[in-house]
Amino acid sequence: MNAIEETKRINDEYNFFNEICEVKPSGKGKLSGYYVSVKDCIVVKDVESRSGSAILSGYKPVFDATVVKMIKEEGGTIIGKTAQDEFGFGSFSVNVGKGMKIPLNPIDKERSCGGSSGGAAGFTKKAPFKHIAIAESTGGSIVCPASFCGVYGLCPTYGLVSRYGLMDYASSLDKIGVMAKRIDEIALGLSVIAGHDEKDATSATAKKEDYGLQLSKGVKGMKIGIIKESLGKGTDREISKKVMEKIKVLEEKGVTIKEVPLPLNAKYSLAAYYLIAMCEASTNLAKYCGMRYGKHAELKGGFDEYFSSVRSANFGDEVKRRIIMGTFARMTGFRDAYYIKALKARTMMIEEYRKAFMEFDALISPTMPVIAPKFSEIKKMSPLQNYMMDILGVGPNLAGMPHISCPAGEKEGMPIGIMVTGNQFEEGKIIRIAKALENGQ
Amino acid sequence: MKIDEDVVNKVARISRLNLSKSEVERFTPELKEILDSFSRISEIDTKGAKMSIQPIDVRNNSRDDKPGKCLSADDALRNSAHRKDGYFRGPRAI
Repeated sequence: MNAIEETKRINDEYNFFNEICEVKPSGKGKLSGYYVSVKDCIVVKDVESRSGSAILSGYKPVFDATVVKMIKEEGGTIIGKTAQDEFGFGSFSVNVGKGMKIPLNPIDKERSCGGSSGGAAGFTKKAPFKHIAIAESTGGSIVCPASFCGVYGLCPTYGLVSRYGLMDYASSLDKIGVMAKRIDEIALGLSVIAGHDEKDATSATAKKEDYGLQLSKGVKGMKIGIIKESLGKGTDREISKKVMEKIKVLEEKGVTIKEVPLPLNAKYSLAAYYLIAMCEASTNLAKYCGMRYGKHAELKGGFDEYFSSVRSANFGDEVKRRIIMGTFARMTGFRDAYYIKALKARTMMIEEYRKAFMEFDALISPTMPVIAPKFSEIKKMSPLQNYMMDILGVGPNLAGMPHISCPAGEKEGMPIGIMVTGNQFEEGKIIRIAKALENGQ
Repeated sequence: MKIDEDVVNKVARISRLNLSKSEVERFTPELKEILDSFSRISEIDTKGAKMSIQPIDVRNNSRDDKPGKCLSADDALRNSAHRKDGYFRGPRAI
């Protein structure tokens, strides 16, 4: 059975893909021999790309995202568009667009893959051939599913990887990153997709690096902070215990470990993140109106009537909720209290991280406070309870800090993740730490 | 601010969304709970703090002003079901 047939077979069982394709490489290089899955929100020329939403049904992009172009040039074969929460709005990949299927956890089909890059993580775990997933994170959408599926997932510094060709959720928070079974594959994937792109005005001008060179550097002499609030109330005790066991591995390798409190982030990052994300999403999604691409309807009535009708019929519940919330928080009279306040609070939270990085090379916490929940448990959660699950992952996303989830053992047979966060543009350090954790398994 | 069904209906209209009665009834308490929780942001003293529009320092990061390739009209229109004479067709404006 070839790779595409194998992918189809796995997809029939787990729903990891919204679209399966075979886009051949345009060159030879570091990814020759690799199959690369791409999250549905990142455009691939001539392959239906919907960002998990029915409103984009039928949309076949006429260009490649910069990361897709880079992958093809380095020899990677694109095998499809992975399932996700609609526009990335979720932590469990259950908020899929109308008519789309929910991806199932590769270890227990009654549980979630995590979100929003759920299909990417699930397929990374199951892929029986050389594979790297290109995923995306706005508030934890790479590390959460990586943790729930037991794979590595790295979200880089904001701006390190071009966002050109990414269907935006929240422009000041969106980052494209990598998932893989092994840390050397994470380093490989990041080395290919990182780098300045003049097509993205927020692209950083950092020099392109070979992150593979970090893998042999070791961690001796490093100083790592355990985020104090992450191991207390709200985090499963068994998860805290396993994370502490992994931290001991680092100590044995010559790392100095000390607890570090991040009180501002612990208490307010979730609120600041969601306010900013919803405000930005409500403006970004204004472009979906049934005119230029995606779902169309019969041209009836005036502008407002037509746009409202197409949007209402094709957006899912969580999309409507976030558009309403974001629009409300930007309205005259509330803008200062919510949106502007959150942007100022964000500055203070970035400062809190920066202060910590003056003392530490990296910070460590569990990735998620729980193991992958069952779908029956998710059904009972209110939207706010859903958002609360992101408590450990939103901080580094809000502050644009690179972070990686590494497998850290199991509870009830389900994977646990440990998250390593680095200072901006210090991906090399977190890759070194992840390698040390991998060796310590 | 009290979130009630009138507010939800008003914001939905501004957002170009038609909500059914049952959607309004479902969303109203959910949005109230979310906003109540996020309102804790008011507890932070942000006096003197600047806004972080982006998490990294990005300034005037624009391309050189040189002509280059851009999408052809055919490509730009390719995904639209509503087009006429090389243009997008939209709903009635007035």
